[in-house]
Amino acid sequence: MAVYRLEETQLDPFITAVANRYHVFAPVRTDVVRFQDVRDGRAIDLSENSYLPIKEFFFAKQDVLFVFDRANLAVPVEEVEPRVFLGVRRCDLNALSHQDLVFMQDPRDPYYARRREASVLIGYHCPEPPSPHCFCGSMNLKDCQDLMFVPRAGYFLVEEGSERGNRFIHEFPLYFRETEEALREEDRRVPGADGLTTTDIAPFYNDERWEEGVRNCLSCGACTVLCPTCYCYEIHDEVELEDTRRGSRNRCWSSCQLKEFSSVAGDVCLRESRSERFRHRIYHQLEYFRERYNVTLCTGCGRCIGFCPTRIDWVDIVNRMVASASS
Amino acid sequence: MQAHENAYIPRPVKVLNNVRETPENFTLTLSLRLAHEPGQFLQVSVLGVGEAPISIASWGGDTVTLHICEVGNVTRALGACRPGDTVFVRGPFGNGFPMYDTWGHNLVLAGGGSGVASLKGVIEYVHRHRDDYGDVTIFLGFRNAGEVIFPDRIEHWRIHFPVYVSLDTLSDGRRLDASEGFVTDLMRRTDIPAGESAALLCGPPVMMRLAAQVLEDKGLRDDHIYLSMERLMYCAIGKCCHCMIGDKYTCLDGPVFRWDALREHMND
Repeated sequence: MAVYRLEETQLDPFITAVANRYHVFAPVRTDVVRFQDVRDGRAIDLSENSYLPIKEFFFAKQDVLFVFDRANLAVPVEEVEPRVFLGVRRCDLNALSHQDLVFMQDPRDPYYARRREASVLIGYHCPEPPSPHCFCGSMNLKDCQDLMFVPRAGYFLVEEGSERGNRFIHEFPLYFRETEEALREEDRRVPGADGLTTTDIAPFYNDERWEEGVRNCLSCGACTVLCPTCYCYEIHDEVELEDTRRGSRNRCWSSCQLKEFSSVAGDVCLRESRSERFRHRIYHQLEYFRERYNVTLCTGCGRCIGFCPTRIDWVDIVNRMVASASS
Repeated sequence: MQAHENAYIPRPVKVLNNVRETPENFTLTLSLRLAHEPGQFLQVSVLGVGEAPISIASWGGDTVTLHICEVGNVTRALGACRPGDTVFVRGPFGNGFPMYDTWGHNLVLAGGGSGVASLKGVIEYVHRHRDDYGDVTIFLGFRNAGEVIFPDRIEHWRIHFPVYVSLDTLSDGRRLDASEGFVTDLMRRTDIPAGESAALLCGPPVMMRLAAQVLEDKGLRDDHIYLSMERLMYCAIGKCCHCMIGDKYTCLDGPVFRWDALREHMND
């Protein structure tokens, strides 16, 4: 794949040019750093990873699956204008590629697919771990972006990652100069972010430390909301108060950390205790998803640890299980 | 409208009949011709209320029978449906009972409570394909006489198969010949045909776990025992993750699971 150079001084005019043709979403510091629609490069903040991942732009917090009026159904067709996400970290790019496995494969999810197909993904390589809780280096991440920006002193190295990325470069030839400078091995890995000892946790299913880990859990579900890979959802009907024969069927995010997630008829909750729910989340992330899709779901962004109100550090818990098993 | 490519969009179906079986249970007959396996399920919805997975309690013909217990908003709304009303369905979903893998085997069919509904489709299938199976023994358990569903069908099955019925507590007014106690105890007391036997179970988890153990004690192989599981379910297409049992999805890999694969993971 070809490599280009974009001068740092050109970033602002480049984004202005892109914004004339696309919606550009990039990390901006407001209350926290979050992806927002930008018109130029001035507000962009690449100093840390965004608080919220980009999943909500694809797998929306709430989607109307269809509306109904008595027995007539209609499916809303959202027109998604072409858009660019700029400054997406490797963890969040891989997370999106994992959600692609769920939503783009047969039977395809048309709501997700429409947004996904309208999007160009421009990655930003972390020169150092943006958070002490990052462990993407343990997660065997892949290149799955359209373009990757690698920061250098005074410029970005820009590597093509896909056909779409190649077309995008050629849409804006003014800003990119092809270069012989090659990416180095460390441009594909974040140094010092490999804190998880293993992703094979099958032997630890009955370890008592799952219990210890959730002693302070509030069952708030922040870990699953902030997770770039968590994709569980629930579906509910809503009716119009003016005429309850009209309404919509909606889906919204759901959290396996809440009891209602696995409750069935007769008030039976299958994962009654917090430790069972905690263990299920980590097993889904590290084991169960891989059984089906051949890739580990978690991408090591560390948000579920760093933003947990009681700082439940499951990486530390798993590492201790590994340590005592090998000693 | 893109119903053909959108797996979330249900199709309208007319209700032909709604028969009350017990105060909480009813049987809904839908005008629907469906290619399906016994043990598969439909996602059935009442628009504005919601959708719920319901086992298909029939096999073949121009209608589909659903036997439903009123336990939540959707099932209560379905219970209020009258002939001529429209409900919406998606599916069939799930793997169903292994009617091909058990070909030539003796069958033990054991159902508890509403789980008998799912076995009803199996029994109708086996009746139509009687020569494909050896001895067929049926065990049905209910809490009391008032909770027996399809008593007339059960009497009809008795013409063709040995059908053992247990009621947790015997009381007056029962319409069926039954013994008192748990169905799993009745199974333990009863001779089950020797040789290659397979068991298909549907009922509350505790009942199925005990039944599987009884059958193992009687010499059935654990990979010849099949359980139909229930989980909270929304999408039924392997995406929403609510129905996971370990790494398996009840909607895609189940609802019928082999006992040898499930025994360690029943509560995962």
